[in-house]
Amino acid sequence: MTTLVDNKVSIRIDGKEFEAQAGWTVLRAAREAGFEIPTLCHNEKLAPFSSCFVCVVEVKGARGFVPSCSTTVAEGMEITVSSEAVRAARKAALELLVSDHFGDCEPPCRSTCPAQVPIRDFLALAARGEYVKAAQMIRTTLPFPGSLGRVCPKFCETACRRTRVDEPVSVCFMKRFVSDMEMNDGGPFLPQPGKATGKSVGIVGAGPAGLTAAYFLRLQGHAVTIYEKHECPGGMLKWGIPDYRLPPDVLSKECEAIIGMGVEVKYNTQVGPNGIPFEELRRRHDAMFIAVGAQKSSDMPLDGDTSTGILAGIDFLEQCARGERPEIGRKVAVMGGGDVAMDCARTSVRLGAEVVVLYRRTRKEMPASPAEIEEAGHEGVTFEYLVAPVKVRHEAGKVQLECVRMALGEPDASGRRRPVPQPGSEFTVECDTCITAIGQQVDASLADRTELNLSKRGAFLVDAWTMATNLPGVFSGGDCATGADVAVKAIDAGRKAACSIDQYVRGIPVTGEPVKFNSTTGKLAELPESMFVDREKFPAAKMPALPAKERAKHFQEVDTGFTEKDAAAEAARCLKCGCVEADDCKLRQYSTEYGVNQARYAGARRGHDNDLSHDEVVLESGKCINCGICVRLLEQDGSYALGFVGRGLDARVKPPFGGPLADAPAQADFAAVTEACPTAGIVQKKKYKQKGIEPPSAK
Amino acid sequence: MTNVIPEDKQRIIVGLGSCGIAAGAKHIHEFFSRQIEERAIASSVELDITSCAGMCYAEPLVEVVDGDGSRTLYGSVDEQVALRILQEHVLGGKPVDAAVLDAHAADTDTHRFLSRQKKIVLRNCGVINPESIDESIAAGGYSALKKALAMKPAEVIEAVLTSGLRGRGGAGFPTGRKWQLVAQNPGKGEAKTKYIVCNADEGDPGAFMDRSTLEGDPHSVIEGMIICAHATGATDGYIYCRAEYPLAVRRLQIAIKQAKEKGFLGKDILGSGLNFKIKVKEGAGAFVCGEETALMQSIEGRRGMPTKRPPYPAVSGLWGCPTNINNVETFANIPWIVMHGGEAYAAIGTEKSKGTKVFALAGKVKRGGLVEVPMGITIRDIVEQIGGGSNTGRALKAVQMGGPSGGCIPASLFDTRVDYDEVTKTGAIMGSGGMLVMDETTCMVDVARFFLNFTQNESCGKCTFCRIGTKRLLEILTRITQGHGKIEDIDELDALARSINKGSLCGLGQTAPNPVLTTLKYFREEYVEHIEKKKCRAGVCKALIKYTVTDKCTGCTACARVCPTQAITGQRKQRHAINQAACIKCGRCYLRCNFNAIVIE
Repeated sequence: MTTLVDNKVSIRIDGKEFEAQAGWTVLRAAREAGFEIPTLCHNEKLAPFSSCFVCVVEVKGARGFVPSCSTTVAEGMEITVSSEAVRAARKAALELLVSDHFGDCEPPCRSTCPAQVPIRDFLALAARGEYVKAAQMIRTTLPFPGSLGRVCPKFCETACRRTRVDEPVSVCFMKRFVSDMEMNDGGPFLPQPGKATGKSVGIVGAGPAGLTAAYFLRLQGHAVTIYEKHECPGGMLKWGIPDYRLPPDVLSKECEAIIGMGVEVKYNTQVGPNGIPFEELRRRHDAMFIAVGAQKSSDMPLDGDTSTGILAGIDFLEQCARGERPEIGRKVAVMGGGDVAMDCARTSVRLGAEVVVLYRRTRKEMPASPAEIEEAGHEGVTFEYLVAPVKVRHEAGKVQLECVRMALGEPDASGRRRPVPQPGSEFTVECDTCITAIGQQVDASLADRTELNLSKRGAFLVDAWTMATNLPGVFSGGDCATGADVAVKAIDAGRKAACSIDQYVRGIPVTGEPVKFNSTTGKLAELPESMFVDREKFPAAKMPALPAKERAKHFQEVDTGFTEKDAAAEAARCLKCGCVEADDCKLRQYSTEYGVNQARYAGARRGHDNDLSHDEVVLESGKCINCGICVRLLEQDGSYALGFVGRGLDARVKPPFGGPLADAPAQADFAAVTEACPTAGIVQKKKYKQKGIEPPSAK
Repeated sequence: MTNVIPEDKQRIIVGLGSCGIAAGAKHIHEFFSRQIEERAIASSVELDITSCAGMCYAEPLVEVVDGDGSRTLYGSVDEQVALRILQEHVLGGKPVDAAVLDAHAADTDTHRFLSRQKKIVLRNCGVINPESIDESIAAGGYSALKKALAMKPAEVIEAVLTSGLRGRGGAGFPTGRKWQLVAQNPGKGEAKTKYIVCNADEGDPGAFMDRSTLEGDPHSVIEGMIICAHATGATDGYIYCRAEYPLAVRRLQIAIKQAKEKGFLGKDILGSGLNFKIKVKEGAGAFVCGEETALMQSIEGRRGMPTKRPPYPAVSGLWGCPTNINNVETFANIPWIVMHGGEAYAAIGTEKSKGTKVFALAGKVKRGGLVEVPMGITIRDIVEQIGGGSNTGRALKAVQMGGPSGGCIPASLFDTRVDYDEVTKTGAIMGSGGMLVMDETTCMVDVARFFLNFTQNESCGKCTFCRIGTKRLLEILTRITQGHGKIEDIDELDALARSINKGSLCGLGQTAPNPVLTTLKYFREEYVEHIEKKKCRAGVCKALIKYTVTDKCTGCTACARVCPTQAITGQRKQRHAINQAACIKCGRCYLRCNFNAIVIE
């Protein structure tokens, strides 16, 4: 159909024939024909400019890539809009643009949180006293605010920008606070499950990963059955974390709330060779999620008779969690330096023992969270560093631990310096009980007689993003896929798995949770001081706690929680980071679409530079991409309020002659300009308030 | 040569181009002027000026024209030599042989420099007084205009087409074709406005072809533009000249004023009915304004930022009017072509590259300067014959043609002929005429870094690939020269360079990666050496070199005395040593040492 009717031209796009109006740009013609072409610098109200090179296409016979926004169609033109080469060129243009983009799409706390909790937004609700809504906001990605508000190692706080002003916002305590308030009101208040889909998912393990998956799958309307070997839910949150840190009723309320969404749980049920064969479950359900954790103690590292006087840490904690009070005697030695070792030590204190922790490296290398180590110290636990017990002897009713002193050598695979035994340094530690807390293993026995792939270390082998195993419809996540790790990561795995499982049972490609491009201004320590200078200092609220002496008598929760006044002050400390245009940014949208990596072309880039002088708008130069739409619009309205200055990488859009934006002529139509800006280069001041984001500080 | 000056007078002509002035010619001119006045010989000795003769290596130049018209050229004239010229030659009648530059004797440097050149564009440069239209006319200036005005416009265009002249700004678009397109397009509005723009925004580092032409013979350019106006029907002309060329701007303004007075510009030129005027627009120094679309934006009063072509200027240029843009050298060729005919011009050169090309020859050659050569001459001839080969005694490694937009042609390809297509095949471009000669003491990675630094600083900042991409190239190159390169960087450079080339709107961006691509193509091993062996064979990259003292050292202490950081220690008459921690690698000791005792490792 190559007829030339009036002012029509015949063109080919990706091999297909189309008719276009003579005079149309390739961009227009392609869009009319239903093709998507991204563009940042093009604006319908303006003449083509062609600066971003994101809209490039290939035109047969033309050199290089041509910008479709300014190329006019011609009879017989052969255009390629979606080849690999074209996509690669657009991606390169986007990657160059974001390499020179100084801004955070998401607040760094959220992007650092393994579970992606919308921290800024829940704090904003908390600041307004809307505690239930705040807890519900947390549950959009993490359904255990009360439990995690007590046991999370607070990755978010390490990234908190407030650190550069005074100290980080106490995000974790705030999470606990809003959950406590919600529970005081009779919560937790969970959403209604989704409309039934008729699909059924089996989950092995009712720990944080399994229950989180169940929660999100129920929201989607899928039927969920959990197979749990213990008599109650909670997994390692229940069995591994002592009551004084996580009161059983808090965990139980959160677990039961999820189960209350219509989750069937079969307790005391083993899956695998000693119970229901896994393949049997696969037949029962449309998809399976394995979340059995890492609950098996690592092999005993000690020589000699370990049948008495020696306890595996997690077994000890489990006994205590059941309310048993094991006989451990007066003197206890705990082996290890992780959180489990601290839990064992502090639990032993509560059982009346005098406790020494033996660790083979130094305090600096200890993997336990610093707060735990500190609290253990407060409670009277003593620490012996660079010590490794190697052998047990039993003499006079006591355990004699033969130890050797260590020295730190070269860093090992984990990056920590490897302890090296010092010959001739042997000595003996006498105790009634030695508790070993030197790690846990995955009990992967359910994989026996299946074709599930395991890692070298015996964990379930999964795709890190989709959580898919090698078997179709079988997913796995949490400690059983990573080895023993923190609960917040297991929760993240549960949510990701739920998303993939949902895709799987709906029969759509399993790509996992969508990844949104997230620009970052960089590491906290490397940010310019100017970003923080005008922020008022206001130190964090302190968490009230029981006196150390009192704690040793019982298993009551040590931290007593913020008062409402504390909490209001703490929530107000949030700097409300993130970008006001995070949801309306074409740069972000296309970067997401094209899988852009901001570090691909890392190098010098624009910095912190904002003009807040104008009443109506803020010029965030760090985020500008030089598309020139504002410059051209303001040329059209005759105000010439912005123009290009400088050259090379330093070329910027600025008010003319170095003046402030406040000097812009009155006819400057900033409403149109902010609407047209493809990113957050120029932003309406009122939008910060609408979005709950703090305007940036000036340069 | 000229009939303006009475024949019985002697003339002393001092070369007052920018290059001559820089070498002290103004001082020499004043010296002669004072002497003539003091000695009261003005009645028999006339002091005149001319401009650049191209022999930069021999500036300041002084020419003595005797009463019989015989000319004697003197080079490297200082006050002492000037005094001797006045006393011994002008007054004594005996040339100062020691300072004579003899172009005729076959074994002289001057002969070697000049004999292979063919001067069309530079025909009057260094010959006439550029500030005197009469001297221009006496040398044949404006006779082509008279001839052209007697021809039909189409005939003029036909002659230019026949000549095979291609745009000398670098891209090499056939000039006649361009004129034809402009001639075909009706002018805009009732006034049927069309423009002619002379691009004199010469910006390549080390290039001074256009400056020398404008300073030496502005009339040739003006005449070329008027002929173009006649051929294309243009009404207005602009010469867009960099403000950094004050002498060129001044001489252009003088020339335009004189041309108006003679009736060559203005209304009804020479009674032909042609109306044409020329304005000089001074550019503020942005390299990108040499790009034609950016240049037009700048003339219109906007920031010089390139726009997409099409539309081409011939269709919609200045203020939307059909516009013909040629550069200085292109216009300067026109009068010669009209006078001698297109065939005569086409007889010079190769099949697809006709006529001559002016080069600014610089770098590691004995005789640097402005040379005009017939197309088809080999690079070897230019470098070795005209330029006299290496001035350091080290082997030549490459020439960089086309400035920052061009590329390096290695010594192994020195038999490449000066021809648009043959040069393009090497990865370099003909360009506007920069020709930088490099020897073993030039580091090719550093050369690429130098040019990328230039293009990055000069990017207008519009297109993503040029604004950010060239910066990333520069960062990688800098990293490599500082010893922090990774072997993957080579592929990264190559890939990014190609993306920039394909993803930029204007010539600046498209060609900016050429220095990287050509050095990668011909000198990849130098990149690998910098990265893997942390070695710079040319001894240029400071982070990768070390100065050490060998046992040739006599203990003269000269090096220690010039060292700015007191990094050199040693007893008198004993071997010295360099404290590497204190050494800043400035190289002053290396240059100072009389015994070659200091070496670069």
